[in-house]
Amino acid sequence: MALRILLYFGILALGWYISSKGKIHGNLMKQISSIQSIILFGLIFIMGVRIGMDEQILTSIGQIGVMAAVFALVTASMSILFVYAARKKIISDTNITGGKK
Amino acid sequence: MTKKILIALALGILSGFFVMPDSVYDNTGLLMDIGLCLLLFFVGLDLGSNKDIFKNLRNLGFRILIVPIGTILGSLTGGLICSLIFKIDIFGALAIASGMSWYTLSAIIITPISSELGTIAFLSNVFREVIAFVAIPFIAKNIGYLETIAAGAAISMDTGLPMITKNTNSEVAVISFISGVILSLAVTVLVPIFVGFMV
Repeated sequence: MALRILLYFGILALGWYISSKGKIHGNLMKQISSIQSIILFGLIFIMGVRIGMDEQILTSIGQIGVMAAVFALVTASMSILFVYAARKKIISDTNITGGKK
Repeated sequence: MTKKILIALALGILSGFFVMPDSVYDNTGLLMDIGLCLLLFFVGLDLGSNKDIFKNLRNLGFRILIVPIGTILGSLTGGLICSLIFKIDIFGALAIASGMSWYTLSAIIITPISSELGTIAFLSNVFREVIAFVAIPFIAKNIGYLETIAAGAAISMDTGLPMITKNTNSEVAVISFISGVILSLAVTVLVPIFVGFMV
């Protein structure tokens, strides 16, 4: 895992360095959002392909799918709620909170 | 955005189930890694074009830790609630909740103790990742930027990062990566601890 974290950090840092030195053409910078969208949807599609081909997921969905879905929904919702409650008290910078107070 | 994500995901699942030959599966991991590295590079380019990020984050200081801490406490509370709903071992439920979207690791650690809970851990953390992908645009628009990190938890440093960057801003992208690293480390500590207490 440490290697993976280093790899991701290295790639982010490389992109940051190149861009902060102004080595990226302005036209490419304008296109970044569209390129990201294309790759992102490709990534989501491949994630779907993996789910569709994974027998372990498909066979267990029928047996314990509802329980797993409830676990996912409740844990994600509670995490959102805790972060929401904490940042309401601690962080007021609307640039960080997304305009929410 | 949410509609497009759901369509891309549904198309992927359907083609994986009906169209793709089995041999494709082994290559999807490599394709995801390449796509992810490309996306992270573009996220880096985005970050580099914003000169004020680190100045803004310095003002926040240690307060950004509320995101990983809140996410962990929320997940554990969710696990406790689920143990009451389904009447399962509390520590088993906490171990599942501690997976925080890292489905491979949590399932691998839990399965030797209970294959049923291991499968629930695997599936629930897959679902949490999918739910996060679909919900991030909605959360960013209606609840707040930092809460997008809480939804997907550990994926905030990798697969979830491009989605969070696209729907929030550069400052939140940096907080997302830092939180994702902390949350991933927390998974490696919390899941074995709760598994150790399982009956």
